[in-house]
Formats: sequence, structure tokens, C-alpha cells
Amino acid sequence: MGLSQSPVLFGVHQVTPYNRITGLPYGTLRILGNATISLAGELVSLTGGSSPFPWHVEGGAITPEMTLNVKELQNFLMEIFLGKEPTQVDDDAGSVDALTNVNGTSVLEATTGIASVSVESGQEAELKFGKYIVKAASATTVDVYALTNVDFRRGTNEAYEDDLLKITPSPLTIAGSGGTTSLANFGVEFTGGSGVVAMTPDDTAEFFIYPPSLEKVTARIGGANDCIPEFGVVVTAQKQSDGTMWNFDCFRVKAIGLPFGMAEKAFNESEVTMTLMTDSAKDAVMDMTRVKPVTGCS
Amino acid sequence: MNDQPEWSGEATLVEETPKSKLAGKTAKKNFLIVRNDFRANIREGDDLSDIPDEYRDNLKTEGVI
Repeated sequence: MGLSQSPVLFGVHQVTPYNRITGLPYGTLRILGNATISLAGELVSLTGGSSPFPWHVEGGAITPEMTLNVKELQNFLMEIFLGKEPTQVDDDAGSVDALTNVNGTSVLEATTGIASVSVESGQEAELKFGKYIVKAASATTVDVYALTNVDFRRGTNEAYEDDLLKITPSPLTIAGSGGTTSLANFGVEFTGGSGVVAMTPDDTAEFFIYPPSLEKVTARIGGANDCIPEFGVVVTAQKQSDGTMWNFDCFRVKAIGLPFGMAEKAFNESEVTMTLMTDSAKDAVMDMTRVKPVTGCS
Repeated sequence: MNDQPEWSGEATLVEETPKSKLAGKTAKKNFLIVRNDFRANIREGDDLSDIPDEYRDNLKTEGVI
């Protein structure tokens, strides 16, 4: 009888973060570049006197880390790495976020400004994704600016009017007494205030347009009360040709931050370093499991 | 005896067109109205009779009238 086959570890199959309280998965990650668990430790040497060699060596701290390179952006990543669970809804008809004043308070004003912005009935196909700014051009007229033209080919083709990203060829008149003014070819309309419109020139407000969508995902990240949770992670390596499978269960993990990379003609790869901690109840950091099924690779 | 007055001839119904509040007013300054399908490029001195009443407040606020 000769030597047995050496165990080897190859590739990465799946990373599944789970809720430490319920044990339920947040979701799973499959498009992975790397999931390396590093348990690098340090040795503490006792030196002294004339000897160049240590008199004694003891084990120091171990830095338990998992380096993750993930090439997909599942919603739950924002929850566990940024402390904010995104809101995902169907938005079949398209929508527009409420108008919000940016500079001054006269543009969004229920009586003397614009009372609201809304999707214009029958114009849903014209809704062009992105953030827009409304500027009071005079007391009763506004110019509108689009901060991106990424969706200008949806519905009727559109183009910027100037280098300042204005999209209205002429200032639009806002009528009072609740009259509506269309933002032509963008699918929204402004409803004037209930009284006589009298905005302060150069005041601004903003809104966001969403075209009809199968998925609409939004998250406001960075709130002072956002909570970044501890979680568990199960990592499985790629099943090997002899059927060998590896599973690592990291019981208590913390990470913070999630890069969103937008490089020229390249998919995003988010690099995140997670720190493994001791689970007091289990008196351990992680479980390692390896099996070599009798049936081999099947 | 018939107390009813006798009518002769045919009655004529006269329809009065509501008078625009802007009738007879002239623009004090240039102003452009662009709203939905309505567009009016008002020049100083223009007669505003053809401008719909709904823009009267706008013109007043903008100092056109």
C-alpha cells in the first residue's frame, strides 16, 4: 500500500453570508474572483543578551481575515457591508421621486411655486432615467437640467440644449391655481401652486425619474443610524474531479465598506476584507469540513 | 278680451363673447410663455387680447402688465 492521495483545495464555488440570529442566508454569491481565508499569525520571540537567537518563542496574535473579490452586486451586500438594506420594488408604470428644494425654498412651494412633479398620464414611455434639477428662470418660469443623458434615447430622442446640461429650449411657464405644465418628451408634468406663482429666480429643486422597470432598487447609504451587522459566512470551494468538497463556516464575521467600480469597459469587482471573530457560544472562529465521497465526482 | 300683447317679427338671440381680462392691455416688456402646446412670444407694446386669461397672473407677476 502506497501513500494516499494528498488533499488539495481548488477554486471557489459559492459564498453564502447568513444571519447570525436566525441562521437564514441573506442570499448567495456565485460570480467570485476570490474568497481567501487568511489565518496568519505572528510569533513572539524572547531575545536578549549577546545571543542573536531567541531564547524562547510563543504564539502571538492571529489575524483572521477573509478577502473577498466579488463580481456581482446583490442587494444584501449593501445590507451587510454598508448597513443599508436596499428597497426593491416592481415599477411597471415608471415613477418620479418627489420634488425637493435644493437652493432656496421657493421652487417647491404648495401655493406660490411648483406644488409637485408627477408622471404625466399616457407619457410613461417617455420617462428617462436620471436626476433632474429645476431652476427658477424668473418668477413664473423654470429651466430644467438633466445630470445624465444615459437614457435620452428612450421614447422620443432628446439632447442637451447647452453645455450646462439644460434640456428645456425655452423656460417653461408654471401656471398657478394648480395648472399643469408638461416637461415634453420626459414624461413628467409640474403642477403649479394653488395661488399666484412667484418663485425667486435662481432657486433650485431636484427630482429623479425612473422609467417603467422590472426592478427598481434604491438605497440611501451613509445614515448616522445605519447599522452594519455581524454575520456568518459559509464558503464552499469548487468540487474537484475526484468529488472532494470543502466547506468553511465562519461563525462571526464583520466587514465594512463596499466598492462600486466603474472602469472603462470592465465589470465591477468589489474587494472586501472581512474579519473573523470568536463565537463565544461555539468557542471557535470557524469550522472546516472536507469530504471525499465514495461515489467520486457526481 | 285678450290681455296678452301681440308679438310680431322674429326674436334674435345675441350671444355675447366673454371679454378677455387682457383685452385692451399692452405688454410693458418682452416675455415668452411656453406651456404645453401654448407658446406666445410677447414683445413690448404687443396687444395682449389673444393671450388666455389663465396667464394674467403670470403676466402681472412678471411685470408685463
